[in-house]
Order: sequence, then C-alpha cells, then structure tokens
Amino acid sequence: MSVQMPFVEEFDTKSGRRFLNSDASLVLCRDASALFTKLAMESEGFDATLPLAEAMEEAAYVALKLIYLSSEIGGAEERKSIAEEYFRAAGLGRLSLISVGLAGGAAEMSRSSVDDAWMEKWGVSRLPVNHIGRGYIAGAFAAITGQGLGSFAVEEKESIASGNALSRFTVLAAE
Amino acid sequence: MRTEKAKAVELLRSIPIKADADGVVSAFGASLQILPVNFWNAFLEKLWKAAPESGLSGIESAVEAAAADYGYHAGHRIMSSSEFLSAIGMRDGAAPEDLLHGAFALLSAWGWADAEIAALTPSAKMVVHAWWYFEAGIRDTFPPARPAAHIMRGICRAFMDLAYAKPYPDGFGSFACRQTRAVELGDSYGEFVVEAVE
Repeated sequence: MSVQMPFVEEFDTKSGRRFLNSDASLVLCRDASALFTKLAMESEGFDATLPLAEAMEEAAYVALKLIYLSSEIGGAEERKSIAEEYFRAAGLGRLSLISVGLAGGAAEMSRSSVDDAWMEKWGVSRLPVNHIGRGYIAGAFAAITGQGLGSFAVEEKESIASGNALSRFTVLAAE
Repeated sequence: MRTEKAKAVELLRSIPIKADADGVVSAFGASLQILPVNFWNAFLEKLWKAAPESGLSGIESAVEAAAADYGYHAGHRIMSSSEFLSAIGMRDGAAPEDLLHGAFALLSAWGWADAEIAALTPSAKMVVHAWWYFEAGIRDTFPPARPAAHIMRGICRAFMDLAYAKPYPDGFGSFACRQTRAVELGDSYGEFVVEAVE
C-alpha cells in the first residue's frame, strides 16, 4: 500500500530554524549518524548505544503521532505505510515493517544510510551498527499500535554493515 | 553582512533535498539525512546522564571530536560541490573567507544554527556568534552547568581547518575551539573562539 505522506517543510528565516511537519529538524550528511554510532559503540564504562536508540525511538514516536493525529489516520496499514515513508523521506533508507502487532513483529531494511555510511568509512562491521534504525522501529511500533514509549524491544539480527544483503530486526513486546 | 547572508541562506535552502525510492538523499555531493532536532538533543542529554561522572569530560571531548571529523570530511565534500559553490557565487580559488561565510550560511539553511562570523584574522583566529544553535535546546530539559555546544565547537574548528590549514586531507586538527558564551547558560548568544593550535 502506498500513501502520500503529509510532509510539510517550513523555514523560519528570522531564527534559521527548519521544520518538518512543525517538528524542528536539521539536514546533515549521513556520516554524522555513523560517527555518533561509532562513538556510542566504543564508549568505555557504559552502553551508549541505548541512549542513541532511545533518542530515535522518542523522536520517531513524536513525529509519527503528530502525523497520525493531524491527518486523522487511524488504520494500522496506513499508519505502517506512513512510518515506512517517513523513514525513506528522512534519508534513513528503505524500511519494511513486515508484521506489526501488540506482541511485536518483524522489520527489514533493503537500504540503510547508517550502514552505508559505516561501510564507506570503516568497512564491514563484526557487530550490527544500526541502533538509530532499531530505535526508529521501536518508536514506529509504539505509534502504530497506540502503545507508549518503551513498549517494544528491537534487536538487529542481520545487518547490511556486517555483509548481509538485508538488515533484519525482530520486535518483541517489552516485559 | 546579514543581508548577504540571508541571500545565501535562501539560495542554499532552495536547492531540493528529496529522497529517492530507496531512501537515499543525494545532494551537495553527499548523502543526506533530515532528522528531528529532538533526536540529537535527546541523544546528547541521555549520553550526559548515562556517562559515569568520572568519564563525562571524556565523552564531551569525544562528541566534539566526532563533530570535528564530520565537519572536516563531510564539510569538504559539501563545500566542493557544484550546488554549494554556485549558490554562494564562488568559483575555484575563491578566498577562504568566502568559503567560511558560505559554510555558516549553510548551517543556517540546514537548520543547525543562526550563526555568523563576528571577527576573523585570516589563518589565525575566528570568532563566531550564534543567536540560536540546536544544542542550546538542552537548557529546556537538562540545564547544563557549563557551555555544552560541543558539536558546534567541533564544526567551527573544522571549518577553519578547511579554510586555512594545509590542503585537504592534511589540515585536520590545526585549529581548536573554545565556547566563551552560551545560550544554554542564559547568554543572549553563543560565542565560539577558534584559534590555531600551537
């Protein structure tokens, strides 16, 4: 199912702030996501990948809820398509939410700009690197199903950055 | 200068940034993303909260270093692009000062900051004033005890590396940046002082 996502860009010339669907946003090269992912993965003494994933979960949840509410989108299929379309439009890659339910589901990416940037800079990774992507999927699942933040745990099982053709994610309802 | 800057911002902003069917945004010689400011600030806030007290300054330095790496390498690619050069009316061999003014216009066009160069001593020192920059948003949710715009610091020094240090890629790390005023601490603008490393 293909949908036309409500995607309104605005720019405040006085403050220099850029908005996407009234959410302040910024444009940047994908290298930044890879660099801060590396920083998170290599932080000593604590797991900084969790802050990275949680921050994207919150951002995706807020952005998608805003679209669903403002456009009165209530159907699960349409919500799912919009979540996939927002991911694409943000330059994050191509995401398919394969099954979405209260118990969890699955997702895959045939293209991931975080993985692409990682491989361009550092080559193949032994570990999955798309913590931004798994955060996005968690936020999308929560927004689509009408659950709260932290309702889903997402794990990247296969990774483009590790040499796989696709990145595959499993999603489980958080305990 | 603000009028010239406004014109450059408008030109840079008018260049389309659209994703293809695979979610790839190709423009300015690079692959781009359009991400919510809240994502970046929430990440930084969670990072500061999660880091052990003893490791906080190390994490701040790592964030600044990642931003500088980004500003230098991605900045070089973007500032060499035909879109960037034509939008700010430059040709090969243009003065480094023009490159710097264009770089800060691009930061504005892309929603990073409303910033411009307040003082410049070529090859030696640059002072940047920013009336708004995205990292200042942390004051609303997690007011810092000291200046916290580490990404802006990294970006500012990378721009000076690109403008005045050895030709790319050998000039990285030639300048350092201090933040001397901070919107996140209540100042009316942020001030970033970039100087050559001795």
